[in-house]
Amino acid sequence: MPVVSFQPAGVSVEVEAGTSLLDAARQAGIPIRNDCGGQGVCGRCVVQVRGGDVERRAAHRTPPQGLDLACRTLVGQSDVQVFLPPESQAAETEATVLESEPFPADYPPEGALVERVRLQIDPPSLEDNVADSERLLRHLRRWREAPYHVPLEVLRDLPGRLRQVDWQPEVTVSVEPWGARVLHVGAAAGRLGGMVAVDIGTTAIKARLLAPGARWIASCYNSQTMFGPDVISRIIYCQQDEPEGCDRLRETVVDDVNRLIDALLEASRWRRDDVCALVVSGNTTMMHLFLGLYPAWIRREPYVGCAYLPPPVRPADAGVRINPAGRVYCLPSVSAFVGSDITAGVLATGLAEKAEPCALIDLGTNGEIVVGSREFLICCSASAGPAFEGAGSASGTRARPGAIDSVWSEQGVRWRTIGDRPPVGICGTGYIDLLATLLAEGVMDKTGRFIAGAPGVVEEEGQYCYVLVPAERSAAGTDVVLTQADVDNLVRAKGAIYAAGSVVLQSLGMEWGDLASIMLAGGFGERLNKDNAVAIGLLPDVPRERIEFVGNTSLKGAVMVAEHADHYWKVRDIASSMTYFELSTHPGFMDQFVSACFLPHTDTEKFPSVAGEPRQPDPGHDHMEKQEEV
Amino acid sequence: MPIPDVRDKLSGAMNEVTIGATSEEGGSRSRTVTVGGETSFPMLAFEGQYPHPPAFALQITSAGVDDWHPEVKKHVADVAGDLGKWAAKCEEWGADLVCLDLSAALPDRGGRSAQECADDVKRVLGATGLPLMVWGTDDDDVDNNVLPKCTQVAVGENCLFGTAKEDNYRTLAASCLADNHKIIAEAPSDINLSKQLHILLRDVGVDLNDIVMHPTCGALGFGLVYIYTTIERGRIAALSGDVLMQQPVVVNLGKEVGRVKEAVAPDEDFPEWGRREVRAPLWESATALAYIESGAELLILRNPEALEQAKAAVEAMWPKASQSS
Repeated sequence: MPVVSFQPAGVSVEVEAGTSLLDAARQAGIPIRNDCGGQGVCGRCVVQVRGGDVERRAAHRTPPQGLDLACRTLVGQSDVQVFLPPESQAAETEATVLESEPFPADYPPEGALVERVRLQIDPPSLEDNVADSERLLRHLRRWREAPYHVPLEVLRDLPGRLRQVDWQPEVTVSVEPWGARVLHVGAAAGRLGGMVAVDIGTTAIKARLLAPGARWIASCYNSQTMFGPDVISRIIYCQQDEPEGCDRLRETVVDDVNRLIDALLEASRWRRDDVCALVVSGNTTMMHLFLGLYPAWIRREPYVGCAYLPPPVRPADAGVRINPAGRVYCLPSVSAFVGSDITAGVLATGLAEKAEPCALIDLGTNGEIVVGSREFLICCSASAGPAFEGAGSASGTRARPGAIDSVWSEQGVRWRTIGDRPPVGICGTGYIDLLATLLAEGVMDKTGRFIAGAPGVVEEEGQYCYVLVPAERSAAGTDVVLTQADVDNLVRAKGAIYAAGSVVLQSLGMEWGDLASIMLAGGFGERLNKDNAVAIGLLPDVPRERIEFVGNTSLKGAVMVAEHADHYWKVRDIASSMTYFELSTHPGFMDQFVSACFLPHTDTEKFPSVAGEPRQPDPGHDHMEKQEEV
Repeated sequence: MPIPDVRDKLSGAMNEVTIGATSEEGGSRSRTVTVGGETSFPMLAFEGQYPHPPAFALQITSAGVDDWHPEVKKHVADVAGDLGKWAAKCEEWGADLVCLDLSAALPDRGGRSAQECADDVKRVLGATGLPLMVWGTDDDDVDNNVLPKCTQVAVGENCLFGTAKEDNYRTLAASCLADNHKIIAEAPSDINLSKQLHILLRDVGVDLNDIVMHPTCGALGFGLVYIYTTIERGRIAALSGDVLMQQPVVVNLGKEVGRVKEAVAPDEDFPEWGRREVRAPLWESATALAYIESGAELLILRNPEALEQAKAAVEAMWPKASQSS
């Protein structure tokens, strides 16, 4: 079989003749950008064939001179040498570990989803000769009443282990939808059980180690991005290549999760065997692909998934590398397009306990909005695209050291980066600030079009773009820019979110002003400038104290479920009590959307506090000591 | 039994826009034309004020009339080579305004320079006392090159210039502001896009009262319904008090009708449709009347016969001042 070698990565892979270069790259684990799932439409996967025999298929988009589209170029009979230009390399996949507040030394509190308990079991005697298993359960029930299940693999080792530890075993028990399961019986590990909570986003994945004193959060991009930027294109990929497509996507995301677990273990002093549970949240499609459930029916009317309440599974079945006797939990979804990232978010924000109606807005690739209180919960989803997560943009990045997360105007446009590192790109909160600042500075008009001749605006290949950081000051030695296409994506994303919220509220006979609190969730930055979020019309013009930036609530919810089993039941209640509001068939949505695709909004009277005049520098930036100047 | 009062109470009204300036007003027009000012939905004589009947412009061009409808060519063939004569003829035919189409500036239609186009504007202004509209091309670069020169030579005449679009409005807006002209804001069949464009124009200093909007146009049977409902929805918003929708509507329909099968097909192709010389002007005037029913205030036609028919119909049906409440 011919061998395809990729430069500059220096990786080779043996493939069958007739394989596309895009598939060959995927098999070699080299992420190539593509937004259309390899249908020759998006023109992003350009490569240079430097040698060998290839067959070129017609594409909807012609690549630049001397380059080929990887998806439309098939490997012939001989070996092929391929060069991957930087612009076709997908976002970096390496894991970044950030530190946050450490957990206390006695963490997790009693009642975690998976617990280790020390038992003092009465040894058997002629008077008390019940079997080992029943004896164990008798003592377990004294500790906590529950319907217990002791699986066969535990029973097989049980007699030896109980006697080995002289009837003083440490028992690992997991909470299950039907009761409790004995995962392991053995000698005391000397430590409380650790867990890992994971938020699998369409674009980015975050994982947190839950253990005494642990303070690490690891993140990486979702490598599935190489198969398509959003859930729909990934489902299409599964359908095109049955059954391998679904497996490939599953392996890809499981690899990412394992890489994050490895990164967390490396950063901490914890061992793999100390991690007894993995708690995962994410949108419905991500949950399907993580568990290897066929997702095709999610995108077809009437939009039905395989399972919204998937059962806990064994690590080996999910393919994750934690203690093999541990347990993997996926949080419950509501519908095909409202996933456990949202149920986790409702749990984390306490939305289902609020006395007055509030809203939770999750600004992910698949944006979701929940409006509710302790009386009701109604949710909808609006595809926002990955713009605010920093993917698919010219200089986008996720919130990590070096990401520009604040921009403001103070005798020119100024910015700062997370950790005050040299800038690697712009993350979500940075984009919000940047749009608002450029609007106020008169660099763009209210449709988001750059104004020729404005400071910082340059013309490249007939398109205007704004240079925020010149190449010589950036980390990578290339300009950090905002292109017209970036602006259009951001405006569409914020328009979709605002319109979805407006339509849902309208259906409830409510307005934004009726909400006691509007909580914006998402892992796209550390701080949100509320005035700027309103100035671009991402959030409604309500008193600012009603707006709250709640961060990555999907991960927070997963952490809460892991650390307390009560939350496991609560999040299932939340999922079953949420009403799904379908926007795709709503006649008013498109109108609201077009109306919201303007800065801040076509109905200017809805944004009375957003003046047309350039604003004064935001006093909210006073706490930022080390300001960078462009 | 008392008759219940079913009249709607509306909070908004359409803007009044005047085009043209007489010598007292600093121009050289023999009269001006004002459109708009309605206080209720079209034709509800019992409910609102209708101070100005719809106005009609006839289109003229120096790009030649090869692609014009044969029935229109019949009328304009003698004058098509001379803009001045043509403009004077429009006045004779009863037009309220003359609309100079600048297609001749397009590279494939003669590529007339900015100066030549400006000369055309001057020629028309010299040949007729009617207020003038000037309609650019669909090429942004050509418009931005040609229109500023034209606004400049027409300074003081209070013309109506178009069209400003979402992605190309700055140059024309600046020119109209500098030379005191009214401006046409063109947004394709969507009231949100229209409103957005009006905000953009306001942001660069254009008074909302100086805008006439063009929601684009479809001929009867060829998309008229889309534009009709767009105008209708805009009117509902305007009369409910939305100041961004209170701009009068212009519809450039003559050139659209000139290419639909029902108006163009020769007699022998569809004998059952009747004679084309009757059919063609009727199709154009019927299109115009449908737009008037939707609320449009300013109609651009090509066929003088259609103009005559439409004006006669408006005369018969436009609410008279005495009927208004």
